Amino acid sequence: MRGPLRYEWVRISTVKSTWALMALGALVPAGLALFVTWIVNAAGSEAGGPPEGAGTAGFAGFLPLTAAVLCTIGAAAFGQEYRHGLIRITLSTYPRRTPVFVAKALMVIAVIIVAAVLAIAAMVVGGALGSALAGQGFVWEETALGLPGLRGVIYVVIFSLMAFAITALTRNQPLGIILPIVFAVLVEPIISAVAFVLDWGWIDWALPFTGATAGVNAEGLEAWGHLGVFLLWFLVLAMPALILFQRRDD
Amino acid sequence: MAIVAQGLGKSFGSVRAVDDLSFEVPDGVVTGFLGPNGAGKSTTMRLMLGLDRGAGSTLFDGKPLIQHPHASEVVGTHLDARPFLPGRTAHDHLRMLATDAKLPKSRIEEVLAMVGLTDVADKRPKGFSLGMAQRLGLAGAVLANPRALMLDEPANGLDPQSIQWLREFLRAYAAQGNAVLVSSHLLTEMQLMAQHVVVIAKGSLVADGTINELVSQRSDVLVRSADSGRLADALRGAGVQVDRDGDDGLAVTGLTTDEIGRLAFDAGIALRELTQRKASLEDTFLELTGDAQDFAFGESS
Repeated sequence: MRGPLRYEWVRISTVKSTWALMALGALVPAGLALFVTWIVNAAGSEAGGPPEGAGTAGFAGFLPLTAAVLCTIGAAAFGQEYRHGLIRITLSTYPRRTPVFVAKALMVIAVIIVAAVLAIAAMVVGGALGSALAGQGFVWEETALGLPGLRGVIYVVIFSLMAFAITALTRNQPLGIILPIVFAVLVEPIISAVAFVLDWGWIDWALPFTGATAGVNAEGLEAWGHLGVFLLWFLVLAMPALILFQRRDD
Repeated sequence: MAIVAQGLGKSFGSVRAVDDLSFEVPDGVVTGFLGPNGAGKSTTMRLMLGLDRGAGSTLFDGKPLIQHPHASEVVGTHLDARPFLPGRTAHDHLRMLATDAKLPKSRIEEVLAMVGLTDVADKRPKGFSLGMAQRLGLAGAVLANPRALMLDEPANGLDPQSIQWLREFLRAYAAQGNAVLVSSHLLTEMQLMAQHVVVIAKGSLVADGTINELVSQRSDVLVRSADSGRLADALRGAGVQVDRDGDDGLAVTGLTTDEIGRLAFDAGIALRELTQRKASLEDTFLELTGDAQDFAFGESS
């Protein structure tokens, strides 16, 4: 297992895109946090004071954007290999396929944890700068240091693992990136809207991305329950992906 | 460490790509793996390495590759012309492959120097020519100094000097007691490079032996005489195969020129010509695989 892990570390750390995506996943949401916080507080000041409880824009609202950027790293774990024929070299060097699959998943998790922590830190800093620019002084979003921050990291990790599993299943990197995003921003909101009309309150528990986004902001068991459902959805995709990886030609 | 392939088989839908194929890649010599386009060479190589799933097994030093703790020390492979990420430097590509055998940086630099890529070690290979890409692929294959090499068309895109270097390198590598399997369409090159050949057509084995064995089976002696009928009777009487070759010529298989000359002299038959005709590997290959080419050309006008 150590060999495939070393291989994966060199693989993931020697492509510029990994570092570029980590920077993008942190800086873009941080910039947005800064801008939104500044606009909301500045507008509030002109109207006689910031809206009550405005504070900073909050990192949770921008997490899906971070996840959408960083999921590319997850998709690339298999996508790059199939696209460029590297998978044959990988499996000639490490013929046992399960350790290769697990090493890829573990390395994605490790890198995305670091990237997500950096992104959340950048968003908190962005929010603080935004409030300072609006004349409110530096307002630090302290919840990021607590369980909401931890759930935010888990959310981004599982989102990226979804892209990882879809790419492993389909051997198609663009699909691995696009499908989670399309489901999160298009398909699930439509299903939610239909479910709202039909009064299907339980649907938020079944929809992976909607539920997980709600989970980051929720509290207690509800929060962890949503993230657990998100993880289950990943496993539903990852198990057939692993079985096919073991059985398919390369 | 010989490679032994036993009963390899693979179908793609209704097409039988590889059919009950068994052969051995011996130590100490370069084994050429020949066959027309679509014969199943690449599929066979992938089956041997466990990359494709199919019937049969391949043993490396008596064990399947998956049972060796460090596969990169067992067999080095080069199966695709550009087997690397265009954005990862040549050095980093090899660093990734060095993780299995925990090879030091000095070994990476050594193989880069060996294939003449030291100057571009830190460049991204997206701009590499086909020849440079082949060199990087070869560097990756020999990186862990494996006891066997499996190379699919490694000479494609190489200039004559590089081909000569590759030939000498692979012969020297095999001479150290290693098994080397090389597929190629360049038959004249293969005749210079390989001592042993495995020929397949439509996924089945059609020949397996040394080049000398294969070629000598298809060599004959051309003998011309004004009395070719009587000469033919005399030769057939000696129990050899005799075929007509032109008006006064006979193609004789199974006797040397010396033996035929002696037989004619004893029978009192004057000869006009007595020539040893040695088939080339190309002749032998074409004879063995004659109608087995997929997508064959039409007749040239």
